[in-house]
Amino acid sequence: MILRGWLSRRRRRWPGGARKVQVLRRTLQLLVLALLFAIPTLSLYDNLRNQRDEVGIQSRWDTRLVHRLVADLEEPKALTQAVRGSVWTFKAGELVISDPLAVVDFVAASRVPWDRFLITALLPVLLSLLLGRVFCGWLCPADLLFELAGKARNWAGIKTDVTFSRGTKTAVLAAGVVAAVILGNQVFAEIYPPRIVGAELYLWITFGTFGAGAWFFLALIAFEIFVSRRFWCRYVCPGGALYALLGRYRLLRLEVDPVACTECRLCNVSCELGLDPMGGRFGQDCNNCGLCVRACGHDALNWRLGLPPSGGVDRLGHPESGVAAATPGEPAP
Amino acid sequence: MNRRQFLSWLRRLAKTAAAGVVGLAGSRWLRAGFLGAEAAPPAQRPIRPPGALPEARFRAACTRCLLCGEVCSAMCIAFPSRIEGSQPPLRRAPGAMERQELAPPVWRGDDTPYILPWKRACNLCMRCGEVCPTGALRPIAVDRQTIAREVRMGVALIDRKVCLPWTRTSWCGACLTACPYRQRAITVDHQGRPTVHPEHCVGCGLCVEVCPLRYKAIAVDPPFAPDRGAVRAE
Ligand code: SF4
Ligand code: SF4
Ligand code: SF4
Ligand code: SF4
Repeated sequence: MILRGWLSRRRRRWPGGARKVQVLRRTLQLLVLALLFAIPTLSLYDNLRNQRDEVGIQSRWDTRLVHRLVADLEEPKALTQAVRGSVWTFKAGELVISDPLAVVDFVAASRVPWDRFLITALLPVLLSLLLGRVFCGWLCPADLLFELAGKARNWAGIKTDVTFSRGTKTAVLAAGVVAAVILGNQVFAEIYPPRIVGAELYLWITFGTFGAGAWFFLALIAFEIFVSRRFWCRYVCPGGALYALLGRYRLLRLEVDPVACTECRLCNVSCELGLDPMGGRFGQDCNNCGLCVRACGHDALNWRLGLPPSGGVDRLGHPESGVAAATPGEPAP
Repeated sequence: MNRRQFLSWLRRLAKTAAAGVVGLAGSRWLRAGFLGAEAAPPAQRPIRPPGALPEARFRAACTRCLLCGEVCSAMCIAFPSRIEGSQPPLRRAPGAMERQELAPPVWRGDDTPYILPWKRACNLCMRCGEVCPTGALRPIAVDRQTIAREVRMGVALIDRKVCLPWTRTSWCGACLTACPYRQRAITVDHQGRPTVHPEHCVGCGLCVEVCPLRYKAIAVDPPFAPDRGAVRAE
């Protein structure tokens, strides 16, 4: 309610408030990507500096740049050692945050019920409980690249779209956990795109080579462009499945105003994940990207904070749904 | 879910599985074709960073976060996707008629950290154990005695048929100079010929890094073999 009020007030003041949300989202995504470039460079610089390797620092443009930036600082280490890691495991000072999928993988492979490592996923888990797949839409560096692939797909006018079952990703998650328990080895890390993006950037910047993940990721991008729209996030991603499960009873939901909605389906077309926000069937898969909210030309779609309605979905014109029942002018079925 | 829905779900599941298999196999194939392998000199093996759990438990615990590689002050921790070793040529009889063709050992990395001591060796700064979030690398205090007691990345072995003083080729002693536990882990006799004392060697590989021979006369034998599994208790 608060968010909705805030959003609609903003919208009244500046037409296109939902566009501002998109600007914010893109900024965050680009910031994450920039960090994935910056962290390996900073750590490389830090290590070269520890070795007093002036020649090494001067021989690369990126470390030279860092050197020029931090050379005059009182305490350069405070900056160059501030953050480490990637979205898989992020370390800022003493604070360690890791992906819940990493923790699931760790628990399954090492078959321990408790470890200090589990605490590191607390913050993302809490966020997902409240907001659902918010990581997917707002922080995941792979999502940004997949969305770019989607743009390329639209631009090239490719219509082929092979669909699969959306439950498959939950099956992938379950199969991976079973495989990890049996093999005693972690399986998700090598196929999880956000980690792959971070890891490959690290390998490229530090060693000048890519690992196996780069090929996997490129194959995925090609598959998404030519065969199946947003294939990975919609059908396969075990991380997305985990976030969706965590966000089963989340508080941030989309709400359709049945009076304003003209059933033009612009929102459904704009949804990258192929969901049905107009019919209220965005389910657990919605990653809060807000593209549908921006697409709606009638201000009929908005976010709200609250428990899911008793019917399970905020379906447009659904008799059990509190909104629709209380509103006259219910559209004819 | 009725029967038809279930069947269509199964069909879609099969399609996804097929796409996944094609993607994975394709990436394997691309990787085999395009990623150059790290070439290891004869008898060299990759080793784990200091404080690593025993191999099986290490693989289970390491979450592949690459943090240890980022903080490694010697920049020795690598995440190779493929390492190709070769047979030690000196194990063969020099004039043998029949050449034994032995497949070179290949280690497939899986984004877990390795040290390739013939390229860069560990300088025992113990930052990696401190940063590791999963405890796959145990934290060890930066202190000579503690490190000597706790760290066993492997044991250095000298190939006396190659080593310069042992073959009476020249004076050397580079390994003795580089060893952080010199005169304990490595000693030289009155002719300058080095000997490793396994009870004191922490396996840091600094001796391997400095050995001036291209086909290193000294190698660190890890307490596990990535191609054979654990062969020796830690
Ligand atoms: S102890 Fe230091 S030098 Fe050795 S592997 Fe760990 S971080 Fe690198
Ligand atoms: S820091 Fe620990 S968990 Fe992370 S890659 Fe290194 S050994 Fe694995
Ligand atoms: S003998 Fe070699 S591996 Fe062993 S402690 Fe000395 S330098 Fe390190
Ligand atoms: S550095 Fe190599 S060649 Fe020189 S003494 Fe040591 S093992 Fe022999």
